[in-house]
Amino acid sequence: MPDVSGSEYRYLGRSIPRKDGPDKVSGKLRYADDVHPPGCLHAALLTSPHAHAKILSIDGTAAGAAPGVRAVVTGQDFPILLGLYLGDTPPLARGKVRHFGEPVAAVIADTPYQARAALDLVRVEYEQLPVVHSPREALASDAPIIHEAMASYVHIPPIHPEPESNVANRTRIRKGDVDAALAEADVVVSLDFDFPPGDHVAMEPRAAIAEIRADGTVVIRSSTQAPFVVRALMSTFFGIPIGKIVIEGPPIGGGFGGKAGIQLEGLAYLLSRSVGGRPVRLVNSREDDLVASPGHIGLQATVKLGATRDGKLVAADLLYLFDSGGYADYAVNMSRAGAIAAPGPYNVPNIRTDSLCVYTNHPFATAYRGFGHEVFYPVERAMDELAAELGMDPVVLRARNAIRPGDLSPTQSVMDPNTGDLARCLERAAEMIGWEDGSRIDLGGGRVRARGISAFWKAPAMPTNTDAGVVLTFNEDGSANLSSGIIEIGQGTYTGVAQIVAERFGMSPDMVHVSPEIQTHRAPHDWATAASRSLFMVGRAALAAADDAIDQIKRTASAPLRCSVEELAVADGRVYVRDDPDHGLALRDVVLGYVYPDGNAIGGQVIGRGNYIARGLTDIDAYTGEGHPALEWTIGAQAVEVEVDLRDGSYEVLKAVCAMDVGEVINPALARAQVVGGMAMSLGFSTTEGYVFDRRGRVENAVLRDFKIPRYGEHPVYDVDFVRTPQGDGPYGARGLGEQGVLGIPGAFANAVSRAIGRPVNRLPITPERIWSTLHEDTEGGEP
Amino acid sequence: MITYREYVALSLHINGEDRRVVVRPADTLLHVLRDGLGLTGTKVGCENGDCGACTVLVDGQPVKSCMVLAVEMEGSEITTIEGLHDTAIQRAFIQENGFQCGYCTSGFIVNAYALLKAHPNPDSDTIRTWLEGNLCRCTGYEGIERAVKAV
Amino acid sequence: MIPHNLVYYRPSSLEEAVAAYREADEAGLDTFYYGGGTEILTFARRGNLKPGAVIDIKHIPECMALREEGGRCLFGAGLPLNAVIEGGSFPLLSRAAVIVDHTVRNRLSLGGNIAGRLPYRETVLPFLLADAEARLVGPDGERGVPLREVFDRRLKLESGELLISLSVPRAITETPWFYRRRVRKTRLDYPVLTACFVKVEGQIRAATTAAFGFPVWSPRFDDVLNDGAIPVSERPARAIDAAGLRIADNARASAAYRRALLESAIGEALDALL
Repeated sequence: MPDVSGSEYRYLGRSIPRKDGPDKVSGKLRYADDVHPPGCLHAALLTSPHAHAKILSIDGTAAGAAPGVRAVVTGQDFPILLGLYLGDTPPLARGKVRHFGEPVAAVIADTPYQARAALDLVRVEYEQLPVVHSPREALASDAPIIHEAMASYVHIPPIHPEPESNVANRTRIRKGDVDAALAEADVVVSLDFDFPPGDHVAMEPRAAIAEIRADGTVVIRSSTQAPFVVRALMSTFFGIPIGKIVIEGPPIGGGFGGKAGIQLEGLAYLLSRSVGGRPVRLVNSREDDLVASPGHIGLQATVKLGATRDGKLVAADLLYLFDSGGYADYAVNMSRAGAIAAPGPYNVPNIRTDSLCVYTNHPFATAYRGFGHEVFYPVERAMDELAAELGMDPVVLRARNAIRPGDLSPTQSVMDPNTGDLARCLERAAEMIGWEDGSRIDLGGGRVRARGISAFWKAPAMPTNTDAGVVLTFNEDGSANLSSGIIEIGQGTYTGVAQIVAERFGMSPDMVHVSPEIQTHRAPHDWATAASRSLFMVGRAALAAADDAIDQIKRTASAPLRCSVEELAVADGRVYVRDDPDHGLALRDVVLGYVYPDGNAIGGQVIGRGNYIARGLTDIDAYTGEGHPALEWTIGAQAVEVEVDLRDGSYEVLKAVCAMDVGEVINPALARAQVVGGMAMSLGFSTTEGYVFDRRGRVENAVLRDFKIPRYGEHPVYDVDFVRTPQGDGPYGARGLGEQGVLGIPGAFANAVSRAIGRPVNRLPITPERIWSTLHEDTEGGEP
Repeated sequence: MITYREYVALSLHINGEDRRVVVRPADTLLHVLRDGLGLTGTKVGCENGDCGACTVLVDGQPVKSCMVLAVEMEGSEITTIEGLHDTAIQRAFIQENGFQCGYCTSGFIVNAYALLKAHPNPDSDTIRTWLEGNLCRCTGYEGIERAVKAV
Repeated sequence: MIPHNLVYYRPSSLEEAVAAYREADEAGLDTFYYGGGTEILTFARRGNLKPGAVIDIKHIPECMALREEGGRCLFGAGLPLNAVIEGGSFPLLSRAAVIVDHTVRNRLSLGGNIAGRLPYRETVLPFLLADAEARLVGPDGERGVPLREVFDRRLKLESGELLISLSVPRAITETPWFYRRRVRKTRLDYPVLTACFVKVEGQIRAATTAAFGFPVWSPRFDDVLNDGAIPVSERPARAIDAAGLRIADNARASAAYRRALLESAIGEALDALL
């Protein structure tokens, strides 16, 4: 990707190489499980073979007597409930299991193989219970209740659980009068959608190593995106003074939301506690990572759109049933985030959304890149059906309804002048994919090529008081050390933030050092490395820290340079008089205090402090959804080209493109890499991923051999372009882009396939067999 | 005939060095590299041969170290990511953003290194044949493809 | 990480291998001949298999043979699939051995694929079509038998018996052939259907796996393919019916879809070979 030409910046807008490159290509970077404390014990988990069952008894006696075993624990040992927003999750199943793969017991032993071998000796008696297979089933009047004690669960106020049902949260958006608008609409389309839960499949399985020091300090080294969230929840649930909890956050091997919130840390702490505080290493096997730990949320939805004859959307009536699985975790907030964003970046005067977070007996869900993105696929598919009804080009239909500054969002907050340019994004995406009206080409021999388009937007879903901090300290050579609370999860934010500081200082990013690990007792507080907010917020904090440091540098230098602070400038590793650049000092002679020739010292070391806290955000109203929950919206459009063989449904994704309004681009190559990575993940769950359940709710593909994520050589040609409507309050006008590549792909891909085969495909993943069976629905008795 | 039971004091030739390590016959090479010899650049992704994060070279050929026993490796030359220093493919991965989180990177680089030794100018099909056994969840393979083609 | 320890034998001759088996078996160990180890180790890790002893056959010269002798091409059971593919003397086998990925094929052995527990056993198909002879060794010594006599869905070995090698007449490796492999979506996956066809002395022979859940070669199937009285367009469906076997129906593919793919593959093969 070319750098910004004619840029006013020296280091921004340039694709400088990543700071973590040399360590990553040499195998030297240490992830969570690459370092074990001396004397570390090893834990293994016994997981449930059933989706819903009473635990009649567990007997760990034989396992406890096995060689090397130090402890065997079960849910009975930990009578406590954990949770992110809603305390519904026992650290190990107690009384019953609510999903296939749920941990029911743990063995701690001297070696990993002793722990694993002893699992075979733990005897568990189950009594199977009726299984809830889907959100729609969960809402039936006679559905088994999965959480009988919901009324007693603690939760934060914005979550609205409905005891005696399987509804963990319900978000309502009420804007205008949907019934009246639909009654008057010229055209109405209504469709049902479905896609199964799945998994992040970060290449690094989750890991946590916990120990309790003699003074009671709990130290956990964890593969986490959210060390400060972990610390706060550990304090809340276990009553440990928060200052006595230290979370070490090394770089992680992919997160995608799956390492946000709290994961293995709570259990790892309890395991350490059960062996007298000795270090215990709890690392997921791939299979445990797939189904014992939480994954990607599933969805069932009904979407109704109404429009005028000339293609103006008048109403959206949306029902989203999120498949939370056995526990709520992040799902209660994903269903809320989806409701806030639906129906997408369109100006729709009348919206009624009911977004329910529903318990089922599936493996439970947590944050997943795009957080609530699931809402767009149904709407974007429905938009194409609407375009067909209207006889209108799908690109034109979307552009006609693009949301603009001054319009009201679904939560009825006014879109500000920072609002991205959807029409331009659509235009660029259409150009890049080679869109033509009726974009379907019959290649002969049963082969068809077709294109599909989709629009998207996303705001960070985060607490209203989300914050970030940066501290800059300095070295004898004038270089800076940047400390923040964000985690390197592959996104490259350390490099981007270093570029921002380098720009402010006018010095090479090589002179800005960023440690690859953080510890919560040393790093400034930070909410989490999630929601595509790191670059925005930490970037703002870094600018503030840089300005603070520069002020201090100028103050110290103004004495020996015998000028006022206002006359000084900092660049190229120097502080100098603006109007007389030769008159100045090297930063190395100032940042640790200035020393006069006679030995007198002044100023002391420079410590730059910067912080940022989200401004003006509110919760949403429980009945209408009114409020201002969105810090900024990143808007864009995506398009996909497929070639389908109508004879057997086999297909190839040829090309996938994205045009996104990101404001300023800090590092074009890294920005593009984030977008392409998101598109690839999204193509994965659109084409092949998702759990396959048997009739008793057991996951049939709970092993990486069968849970298929995209492989080398299956990838299409990618093209990415950035539209640049500046984000006024972003660092140098930048806004978030880490997740957005995910958002529009399922819709664009499903639209391309539907167009190719001339029939709607409203279930994911779209496998060749799904296409084949859709084509044979009438003649061969319906979809299997 | 060689017979190993219980524990074995094994000699391995790794990255040009002779190493002695005590193993169980049941220990995989992956486990011995990481926990016995401290070579943690080789990563654990699935222990099932599906992801390629643990790929090392055995006598120059890529092998998934989770799918071989350490005791099978006597007399073989083993090369892990720690045995590669500033090679062209490593430089290309940095230049072309062939990684993000970096967790799959050791396996990809070791495999690509062997590929480029066997086929200095591989065509797209050959690259796919060699690299499709390694999973990457971050990059969408775009930067990896560029890196291999840039060498 | 394999939870349970095992005994590892590395014989350098067939006699030693058989002796090792006897020793381990008498010690009450669940004992396996071990080629590449890819299946045994992954099964052992997950507890689907608890091998008490493995006998590594890769240092036995007969198991690693790859040569032509007496008008036959011979393939040692311990050969990794990449060696079989690159050997190249049997083009249909070189094609059918392109399973799993390149890195795994550096270990996964021919014998492991044919005699292992996974039901697909794709590399056996070319041998079933090519009048292969299997060389076996066991407590009662060595023997050579037509493969079809000891293969029915799986290799039927006596206790303690080891597949040493397979050989096929050179002439058959040079006959016209056709191959189709279909997957759910990702090419690196177990097959939904694999079908091999050869034309020997004017007659088409077919062998499939996965379609019926296991490798199948059926004379009734072949009879329909070669029956001039049946219109070519009807032969695929008639042949499948003639096999008299239930088509596999599971999460990887429904029976209806598999049948459609199989009919299509047979149709293409007839086009290519008739």
